[in-house]
Amino acid sequence: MTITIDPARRSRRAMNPKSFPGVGFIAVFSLVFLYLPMAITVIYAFNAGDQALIWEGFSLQWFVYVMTNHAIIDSAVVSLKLATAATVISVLIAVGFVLSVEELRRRGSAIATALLTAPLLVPEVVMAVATLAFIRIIGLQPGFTALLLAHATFCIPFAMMPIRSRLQGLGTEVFEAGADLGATSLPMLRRITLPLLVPGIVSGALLSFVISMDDYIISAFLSSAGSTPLPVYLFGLIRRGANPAINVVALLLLALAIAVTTVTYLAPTRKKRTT
Amino acid sequence: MSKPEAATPRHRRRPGRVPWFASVPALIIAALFTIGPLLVVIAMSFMTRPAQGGGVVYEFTTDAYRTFLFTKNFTGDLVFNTAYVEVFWRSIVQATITTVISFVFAFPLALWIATRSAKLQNFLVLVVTIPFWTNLLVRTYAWILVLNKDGIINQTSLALGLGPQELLYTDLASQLGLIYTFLPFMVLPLYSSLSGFDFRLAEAAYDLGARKMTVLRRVILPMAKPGIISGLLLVFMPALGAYVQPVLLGGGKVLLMGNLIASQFGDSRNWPFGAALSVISLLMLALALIGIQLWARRSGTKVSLSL
Amino acid sequence: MPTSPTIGAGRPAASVARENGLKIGQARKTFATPEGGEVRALDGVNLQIAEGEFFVMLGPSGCGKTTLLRAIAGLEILDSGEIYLGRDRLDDLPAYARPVNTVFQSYALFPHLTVAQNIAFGLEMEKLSKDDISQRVKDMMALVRLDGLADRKPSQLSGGQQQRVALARALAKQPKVLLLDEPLAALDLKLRRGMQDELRRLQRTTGITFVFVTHDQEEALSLGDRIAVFSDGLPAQVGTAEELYERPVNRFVADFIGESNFVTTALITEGDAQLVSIAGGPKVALTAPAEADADGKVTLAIRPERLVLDGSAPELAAGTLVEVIYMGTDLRVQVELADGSRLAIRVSPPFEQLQLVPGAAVQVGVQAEFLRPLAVDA
Repeated sequence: MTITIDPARRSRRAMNPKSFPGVGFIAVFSLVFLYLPMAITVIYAFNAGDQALIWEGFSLQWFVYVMTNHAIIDSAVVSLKLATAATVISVLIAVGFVLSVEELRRRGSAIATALLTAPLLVPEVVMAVATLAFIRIIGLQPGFTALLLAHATFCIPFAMMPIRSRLQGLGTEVFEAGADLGATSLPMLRRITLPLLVPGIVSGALLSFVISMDDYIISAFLSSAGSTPLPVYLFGLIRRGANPAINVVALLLLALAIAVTTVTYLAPTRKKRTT
Repeated sequence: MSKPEAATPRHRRRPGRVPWFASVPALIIAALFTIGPLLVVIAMSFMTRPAQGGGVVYEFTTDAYRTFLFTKNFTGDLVFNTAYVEVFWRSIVQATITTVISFVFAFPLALWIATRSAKLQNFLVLVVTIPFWTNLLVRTYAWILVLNKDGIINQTSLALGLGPQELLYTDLASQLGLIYTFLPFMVLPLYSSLSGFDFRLAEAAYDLGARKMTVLRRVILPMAKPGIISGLLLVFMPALGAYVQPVLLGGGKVLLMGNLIASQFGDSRNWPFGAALSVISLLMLALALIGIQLWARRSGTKVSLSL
Repeated sequence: MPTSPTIGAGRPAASVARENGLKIGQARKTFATPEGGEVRALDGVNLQIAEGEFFVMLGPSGCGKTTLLRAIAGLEILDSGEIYLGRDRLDDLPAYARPVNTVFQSYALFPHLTVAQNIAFGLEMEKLSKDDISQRVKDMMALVRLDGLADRKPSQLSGGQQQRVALARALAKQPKVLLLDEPLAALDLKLRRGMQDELRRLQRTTGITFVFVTHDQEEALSLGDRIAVFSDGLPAQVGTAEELYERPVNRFVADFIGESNFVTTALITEGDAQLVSIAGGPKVALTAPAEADADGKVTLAIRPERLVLDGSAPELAAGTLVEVIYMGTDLRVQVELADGSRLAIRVSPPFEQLQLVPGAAVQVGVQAEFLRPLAVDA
């Protein structure tokens, strides 16, 4: 008996169970699609000319421009302050919540978790206008305090996710071992729980920081003249058209994203559980 | 023997956890700054627009909702007006296109990453994660550079003698921006459900005589379902309310749900109408969420929002 | 080497009770299943474990053995019932206050602490002096033969070494009772054998009561001074290895420990004697008292290695060989009786001259004492 088969299906690729037609091509195309626009942005940050898109030679003049531009620096400082404060608040709150939510009654803990993750599902524009209306009612004006409260709120779910998955990944036995060896609540928290949560807390903090630095819409509605976060200022610049200074700021924000992502990936967040 | 501390005999905290009241700050923040604003918006949508300026007058009316569907003609009668419904419809269409196209690119990418060596997988996930955490404005701005009249597409088009193309500040630009910014949101959950896939199952399917496409459709795609559902949530929901991309790339000429709502609190100064639009969009999202949940439950998958 | 005088030092439970046996009375625990049902993990367990005993709780998964172990440790709270250690009531104490320590199935070593820090942890919780702690850590490392690994992290240790750290960490507290939750399940067979010897040695040298949970009957038989076989939330039988193997009280125990043939047949009473006849074979008088069920029948458990084919024991029944499997140490033989039922028989060497081939007619013989009548199932 002979087996007749289309010769194309005898190729090495056809034999590999992990290879599928077209998948590699689309994958590489998608990666190029993801990075090409950003690569252009980065390259033009070093443009000598004052047109964003016409290359006139290599120069660092726009870096100097950005570093000495008060408006950009002030807004960057506002953003950094805001992101730092929102991160500290949201991480503290998230750690407390993650460690205690199961002590609420069964139904209560499910509702509480849903409540805390709700900001992820409500459209940002709606959250922005709603928060603006709300802070007016409780007697606040747009400004740093309002920004901080809103940022902390939407940072909590991001801070919470890695901390919670770290806690779940640890399982229960290691804590039971602590209790078994005589650790009461406080020593357990200090000596076991918190040290073991550190990788989750670090990722949670980094995520919160980046999310806060990233936010435009909510910040736009809640910022005031003295406290304009960087994205709000940047949005204004972009609306006025392309400009090499924006490329420089974009490059710096991209560098921040690369740094944060690399740190999260190098940190051993995912510990393998024994059996 | 003395009983140490107040451990009640029949209920005790799990070891390693802290008392329930540590949840309270989180719940207060959530109640104040999530539930509070949403309640205010619902209340505001039933209030009256002041004769001048923004804000509201505390007087019950359903005018805001009527504005959504009807308009007063010059004789003062209410006539059906589809303008706003069209805006919402356009948003749904754009969000759907964004989701579908993101999936078309994300699934092969996620599958490709999942079939690389462990080391390369880690690196590629890093590569996809970087755009994920890059500032949204930066990613949107990058497309302004690409689509601009002096941008690379137009320069290429001129060099080829095709003449300049009007690309920026169009519907297409806004759509492109949405796909670009949400693509990583689809790739990551898909990858995380595919990375656990045991390719020996695919081998078993080949052994039983299945072809590549059959294996993809009947074995791998069903395995990726949890990732598909997460990706759907993470792309469709935010794309529906997108603001930055339609404004910066669509030039604000394209009215979508997001910028329509925002403009009511800005230039248009019609807060109750903006609030009513918010409530309607929330209801729509709730419906979409229920739909996705039903689909997930029917296929026996748990909906989760983890990245 | 640590000995008993300092046991339980600095703990609230360091009482003057002379008898430190464990006593469990009417322990009940029900779990809610995710589907909304209930599982009765402990169904009114009564158990006494003597001081210094190596006690094994054996049973299939879900039989309640682990729940009971966790209840003794204080990691699970009983719905009702009592646990006493000597005269001290344990069940209303939180886990951290019980003079009882656990070796967990996954070892549960603290991944962020070194070996020495892991072992020292429990001692630091007792607020012992630094010198005492370092001395005790040293002693423990020597006791479990971990010398030289003090500064390693658990992730840098082999499974067997992690196991030893878990043991040292629990023993460092000098508990009155050491609880071990399937501690050898993750080790390969050879390592497991070695650790079994090690555990027996540790138990003898420290004199601490060991309560050991396992689903492996061989491990249970080789380790336990006494063994409790658990089924459906209750100990079905408690006894030495020999008692359980030779005199199982019910079908569950006979089936769970070793192999058994189960034969149900009419119980014939003639005067004081209770007799059975299997598949038309001769009447055999039972040596143990039997109890007939509603149909007047009794179920007998017969170990395959007690049945003979060489005529060296009184005849039980005649049959035909249907299957012969060569196992090296013995032959596994299936005999079909006249009524169509089958008996499994193990024939020990020398079996060469028996000429056992499928189809051959054979006579199955047994000493009457090896026909074990089982209790009627409730």
